[in-house]
Amino acid sequence: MKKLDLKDMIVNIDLLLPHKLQMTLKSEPGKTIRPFEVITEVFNLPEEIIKQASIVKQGTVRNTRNA
Amino acid sequence: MSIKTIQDILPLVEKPSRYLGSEINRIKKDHSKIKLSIALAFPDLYEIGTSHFGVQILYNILNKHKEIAAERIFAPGVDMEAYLRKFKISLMSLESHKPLNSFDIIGFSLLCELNYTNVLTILDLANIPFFSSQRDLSYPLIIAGGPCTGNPEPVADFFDAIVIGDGERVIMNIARTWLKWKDSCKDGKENLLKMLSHIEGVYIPAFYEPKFDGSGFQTILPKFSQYTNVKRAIIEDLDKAPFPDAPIIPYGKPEHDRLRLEVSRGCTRGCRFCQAGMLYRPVREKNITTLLEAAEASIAATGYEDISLLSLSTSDYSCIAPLMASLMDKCESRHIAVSLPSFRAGTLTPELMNQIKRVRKTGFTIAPEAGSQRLRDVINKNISEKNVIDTVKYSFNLGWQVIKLYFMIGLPTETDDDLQSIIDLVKELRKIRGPIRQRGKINISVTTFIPKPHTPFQWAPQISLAESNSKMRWLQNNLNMPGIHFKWQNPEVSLLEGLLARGDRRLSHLLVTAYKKGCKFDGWSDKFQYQLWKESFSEAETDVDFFTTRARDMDESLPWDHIDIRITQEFLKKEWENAIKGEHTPDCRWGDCSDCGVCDFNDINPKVFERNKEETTKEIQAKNQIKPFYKKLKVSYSKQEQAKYFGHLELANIFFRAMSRAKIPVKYSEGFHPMPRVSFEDPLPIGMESLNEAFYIIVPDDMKSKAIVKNLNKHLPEGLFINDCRLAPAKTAINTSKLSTYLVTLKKGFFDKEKLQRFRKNAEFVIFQKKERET
Repeated sequence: MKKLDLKDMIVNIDLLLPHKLQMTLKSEPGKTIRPFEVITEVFNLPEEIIKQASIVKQGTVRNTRNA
Repeated sequence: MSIKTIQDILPLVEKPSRYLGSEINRIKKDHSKIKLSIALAFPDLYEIGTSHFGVQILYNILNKHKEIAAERIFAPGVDMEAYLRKFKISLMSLESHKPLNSFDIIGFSLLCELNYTNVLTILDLANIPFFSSQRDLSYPLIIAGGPCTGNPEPVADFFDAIVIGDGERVIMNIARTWLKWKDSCKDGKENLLKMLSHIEGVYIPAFYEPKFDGSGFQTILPKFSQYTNVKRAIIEDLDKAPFPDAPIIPYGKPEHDRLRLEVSRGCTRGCRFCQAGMLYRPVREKNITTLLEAAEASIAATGYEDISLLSLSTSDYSCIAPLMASLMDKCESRHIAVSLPSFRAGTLTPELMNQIKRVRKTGFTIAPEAGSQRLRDVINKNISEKNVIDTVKYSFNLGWQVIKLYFMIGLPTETDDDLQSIIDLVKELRKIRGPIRQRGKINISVTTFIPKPHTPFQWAPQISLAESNSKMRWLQNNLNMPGIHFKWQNPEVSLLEGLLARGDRRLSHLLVTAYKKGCKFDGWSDKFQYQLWKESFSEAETDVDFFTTRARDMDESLPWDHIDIRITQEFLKKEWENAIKGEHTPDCRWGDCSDCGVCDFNDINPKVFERNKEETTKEIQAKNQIKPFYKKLKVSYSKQEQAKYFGHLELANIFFRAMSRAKIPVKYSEGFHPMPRVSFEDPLPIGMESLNEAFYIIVPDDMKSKAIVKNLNKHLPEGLFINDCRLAPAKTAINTSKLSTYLVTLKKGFFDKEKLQRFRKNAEFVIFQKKERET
């Protein structure tokens, strides 16, 4: 098990609509978090609901703030 | 949960791409424009069924007709099955997601007796009654074909019609007959069955009545005097038979993930245990020109990187050396490997093996079947210990590192000495070293011999479960040595297979009983439940020994007597006598006729080409080509809709093959196993869509990026789209962090605002992540 602080990994998280969420996640070598994990941990939704959700990756950029 | 269709279930099950039906080369027709719909059902998982060449042949033949639509259906995985049952969703075809019970005909491929319970699963999930007698015209016509129909009796009650022999000979006749019957206002099911019974190779079980005497012996009585037996349909000339040169490329990891090229059908080596060797006689070879043309067309249509030469014994194909040389000449520069999945020890020369390894080394399997020469003589497996040893020597010397050997236990007349001979032979093989003195790995696979109908051993007893277990354990203990990996088939599975192989019509009730108890996927070791079968034997009052361990009297009537596969009983009896005497029967393809009864010497003859006597190993000419300059490109793509269900390796294969079909000359790595120089960015988890992913390719400097985008997009399945292709940055930063943005939309329910606020207010939010996550 690896200990992670989600506050470090979630750069941005916004509710666009009650059922629609946008989030920006930071990843670095050896330290990544997936949207599935974020929704599970933050919203504590049942696995089947999350599995049926549509998750679309909008894009990736290099993190120039830390680079 | 809001689950109404299979699409809703896909995010919840393993390997969802199994159920998409959007593969390259699949055919989807508008059902409003067709007159006959046929579902080709394979009673095993997608990965097994898509590897079966017969389904591809029939799919190709039927779909060539504009009035006919053929679609596929496979046994769903147990997770999918559970959801279908829970939400009362009917099983549907892959191509158009049409409910199975709305097809006109459902045709099952019966390749293995252990799939029988899966036939019932498929029927049940389509809300179709199991027994033919329970189905009226409101249900599809249920038919079957495949090697198991040599003895169709255990499943005869389930089917309206059963095809005996080569399906491509019969399938269009069935389709035309059905259309004719439909045009005549669908005049009664019995009338349709009568029309079908006139087709050679079609068995109508309802037109035969089983009678049982006091001792349990079945006699099958025809109801009509002009329909007393069913003759196997044979396709005389394979060169004229339709070949599926644009086969469907399955998703995921199918059992045979390569292009299959059938070089011949039938084998007359005469191994006395081998049912396929009897069922598919005579040998019918394809012309080398036909094969090369088919290979060229199929590679262009699929982009496969492996070709497998298909037949019962590929190295017996008379022109194998020139075929291999020609294929390799075509394939080597394109990095396509050619493999021979089945061959006999003694027929594979070092020259031939040199050809095979010109691209990369494919698997290598030898089947001595028995350890001693005496027992190999009994079974007419005419290979010597020297043949086996020499073949293993050649292969290790040429760089192969793993050899697989097949043996059987429980063959007629087997003694303890014969089993000891397996150990002795393996010990001899262990001594063989490769060129740098390294020892190869030897995988030994052992199964219990199952006497099969229409073979000279059809009267022989199968060994008991206890004996089988004891022999397996003895072999396992004695083969416990370094470099040897011992694998064996569960004797309980063999017992069930033996029971169903030589059973009679009473077994249909056993199958239903077992199915209702939960038996399914009996060929899968993790799903097989012998305890449930034992309970079923008892409930259905099945005397297992009667069908398995009992030696048959040569004069007793057998449940498959009315199925005429064209081999005479006299031949089988003579072969049984020869087996007991250990006498050899030569292969008729190169010698005298062995009088088995199959050939009529008018239409049906062995078709064998003259053996090529030319030097087969052309020196591979060093190609004096100027090496091109290469460049690295970054290809950006989107992965949406159904494509979200592709796993990473699956996606990589889809792109490799699409690039091959699009004729994009990607550079290959060097070494024993050349691979395309393609690298992907971080894999996406299954189920996630992306607007912009990327992979990198190395291609000749003169390749135009725009051409890559245009051509590649023509060859991708639904949901994948190339957005851009440009020169890759000189150095890709590896150790920097990245920011990825995601949009999440719930199909049901809402995100809790308060929980989000709580998260935002917390100074930290610690979680514990499993180190190995599924992607």
